[in-house]
Amino acid sequence: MKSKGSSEDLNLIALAKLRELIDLDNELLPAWKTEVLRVLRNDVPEDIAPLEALLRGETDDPVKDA
Amino acid sequence: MIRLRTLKAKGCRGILDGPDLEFGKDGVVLVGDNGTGKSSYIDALEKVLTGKCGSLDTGDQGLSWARQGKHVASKSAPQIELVLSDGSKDFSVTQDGPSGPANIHVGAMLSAARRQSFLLRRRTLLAFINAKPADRYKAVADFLQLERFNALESKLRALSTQCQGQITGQKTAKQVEEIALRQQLGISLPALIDTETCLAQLNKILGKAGLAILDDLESASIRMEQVEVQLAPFSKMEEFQKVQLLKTLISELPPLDQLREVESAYHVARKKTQDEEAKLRGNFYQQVLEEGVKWIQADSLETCPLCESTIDPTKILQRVEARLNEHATLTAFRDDQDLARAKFVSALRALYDALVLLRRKWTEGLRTNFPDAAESLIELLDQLVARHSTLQGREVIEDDSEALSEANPNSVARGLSAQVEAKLQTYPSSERYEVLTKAKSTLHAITINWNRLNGAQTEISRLETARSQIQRIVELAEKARKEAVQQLLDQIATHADRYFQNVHPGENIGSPALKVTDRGTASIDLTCVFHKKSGDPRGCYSEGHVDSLGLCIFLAIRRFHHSHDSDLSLLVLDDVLHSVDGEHRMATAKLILKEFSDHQIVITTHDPLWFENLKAVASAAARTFSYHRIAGWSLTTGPVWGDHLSDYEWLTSDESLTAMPADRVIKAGRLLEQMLQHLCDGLSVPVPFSLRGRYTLDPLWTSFLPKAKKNKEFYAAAGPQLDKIEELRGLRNLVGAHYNEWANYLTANESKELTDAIVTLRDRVYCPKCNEFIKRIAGLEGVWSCKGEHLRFKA
Repeated sequence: MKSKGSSEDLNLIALAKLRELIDLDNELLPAWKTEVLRVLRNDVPEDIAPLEALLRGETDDPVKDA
Repeated sequence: MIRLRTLKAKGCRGILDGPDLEFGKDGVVLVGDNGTGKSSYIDALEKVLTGKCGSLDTGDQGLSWARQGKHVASKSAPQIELVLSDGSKDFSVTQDGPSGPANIHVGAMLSAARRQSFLLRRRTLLAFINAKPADRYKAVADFLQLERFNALESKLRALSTQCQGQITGQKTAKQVEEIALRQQLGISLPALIDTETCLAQLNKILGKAGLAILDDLESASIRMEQVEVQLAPFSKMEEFQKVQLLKTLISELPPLDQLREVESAYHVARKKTQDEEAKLRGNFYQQVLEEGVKWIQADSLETCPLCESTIDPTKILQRVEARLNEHATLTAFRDDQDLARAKFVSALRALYDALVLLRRKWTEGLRTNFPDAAESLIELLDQLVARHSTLQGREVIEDDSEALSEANPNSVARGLSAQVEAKLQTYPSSERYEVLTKAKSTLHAITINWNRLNGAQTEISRLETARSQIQRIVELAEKARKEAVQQLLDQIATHADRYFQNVHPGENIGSPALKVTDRGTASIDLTCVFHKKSGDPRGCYSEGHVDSLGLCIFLAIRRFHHSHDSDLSLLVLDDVLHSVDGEHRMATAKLILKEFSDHQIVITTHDPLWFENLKAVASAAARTFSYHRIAGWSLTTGPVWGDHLSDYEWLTSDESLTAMPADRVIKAGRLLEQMLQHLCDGLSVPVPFSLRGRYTLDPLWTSFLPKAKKNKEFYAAAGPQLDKIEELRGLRNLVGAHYNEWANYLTANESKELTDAIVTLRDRVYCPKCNEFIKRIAGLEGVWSCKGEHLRFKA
């Protein structure tokens, strides 16, 4: 992830801000919050499969599944 | 650092075949009138560095490099080669990419050129300022390079869309179940399908079936079991229905009394016919009678050929007519007889067919043999149908009638009916069966459709929660992106303001603010301060200030790019700063050379003074630029290089000291003409009108000189030069504007005197600080001055 260029920096800045906003958000249900943060902490925004699983109702407890 | 060394172009835009553009270590400054090919070099440079040409590949219809990239007179495709150097080795790049051995630094530079903003054209100078906020964001989106984060946002949005699709699917499924429930329970719109309504309607149906009502819909499955028990006796309902069919068929048997009637009618008709036939003695037939009459008439017989008695034709005809009348009655009787026979046969056949059908269903329904009496009746009917299809005698009819009576169809029908009724008595009530069946199907609908409907509703609720959560995440992602971009834009705006304050110190303007708005997914508002008030810069800034702001924002973006990725150290300004005045242009030149000392700089301009400013600033800063002046352009030659020194620069250079006297006078004359054009314009000196708008030296000088003499302070300062020029200006006419043979007679002394006078006059009227000639100042009557009043002459 670490490489030269503004693009990477700004992507990371935006991701960090998103993590911060989600952490502070009271409207997000705990399951969703946990799941989104799990996606973001991996710094792999391409991978939203866990969110898709959550949407499909395949998991109610992301912490346990993780 | 990779530097540009030479740009070679052929058949490209306005360049037919060179000349090559050589770059100095720190860059190049290119001056030339409009339409002489300056921007062609810039287009070629951009094309070879980025693969695109921003002035052509705009996406506008009919405009593209493929169409207009080629020189109009060239038959081959444009050829561009850029020679780069790392200080020790040269590398070549064409529009097809690097040629020769690959170099990692060259590759990185080209890659950076495709990503970064490094070129500003006049036409794009204000694009960012003039753009709508959303377009302004698009303009910076490329260099933000937030692709990975944007991908995350896109996927989240797609997830939201996918979720919405699932909700729609569930709503459709719910609707299907609702329709089924409405149909089954008999609940029509606008009544709602809810627990209360469904329970009330179900209980109504259960009540009709004599079943206990329910307290809740969940108990429907239990009640279903009870209904199944009560429906058990109706398990042979299929058999019941078959017996019920037999009853229907018996009831539909042709009326038996009617059979007796038609049989009797047939008998009567037959009897009447036969009696009439017996009455007609001799069996006269119509044909015989008619033929006999014809024979008598044809032969005109007067006597009978048998008995030779006299024939009276009139009487014979009367007797024949009477006989024929008697026969007509017989014919009518025969018609009646045929009709009665057809009806009789039809009645027999109808009864036969109905009994045969009944016999076939009899075995299926009662599972017993068809009664013998009924079988005999069928057999008899079959015989009668066959026999009476042709005409029979009265005796036969009477015999058959007797046989039919003996068969007693009424008795047979009653017997059949009695057996069927007896069987039906063994089944429970069919009405009961119907209400129980209705109750069962309703309970089934509740257990299946109601549960599915509730399942769909639950799923919809779950999905809507999920969607609201995803939507929330999308909003947060958008907010995070905007905050990140804002952080970056703040840095750019700070840089832009610093640059702007450098150019416009103490002017109470600037402080550009780029704010990512909350409106839409991406927009940028631009505001600036004008004497402590913030607003759209276009609302209160002069044209020059707006131009200057556009340049500073661009420079800030360039600096931002370079600070993050220094593979490309190039700044290209193509004829920008039209409306910025001399003093600010000077400041701008200093700013660019100072702030971008780590860049190679390419500047084109059509303004010779700006060209001189740049050279002066570059020289003072000991920067190594190459300078080119395009002297002219034609379709067949392309750009033609001229001497890059201006006339003033040349006249004050060492080179002019050893030059031919005529050359010095020619250049001095041209400098004087340019000076006078500026002075007459700026000092509002009336000059005799020229239709072509070309004001040559003589009318300019003869108009200016009297005015100059009237300004006491100016004449005191420049009087000797004015007088000398007036004395010697004929020399200039002698040599003309260009070299000719008269010039050979010009002495070095004469040349020096005139040249020195003109150069000194130029120093009196041109302010290098303000970068402008003296002019009339509004509000200062009779004062000739530069803007900063460094040169000031009062009349």
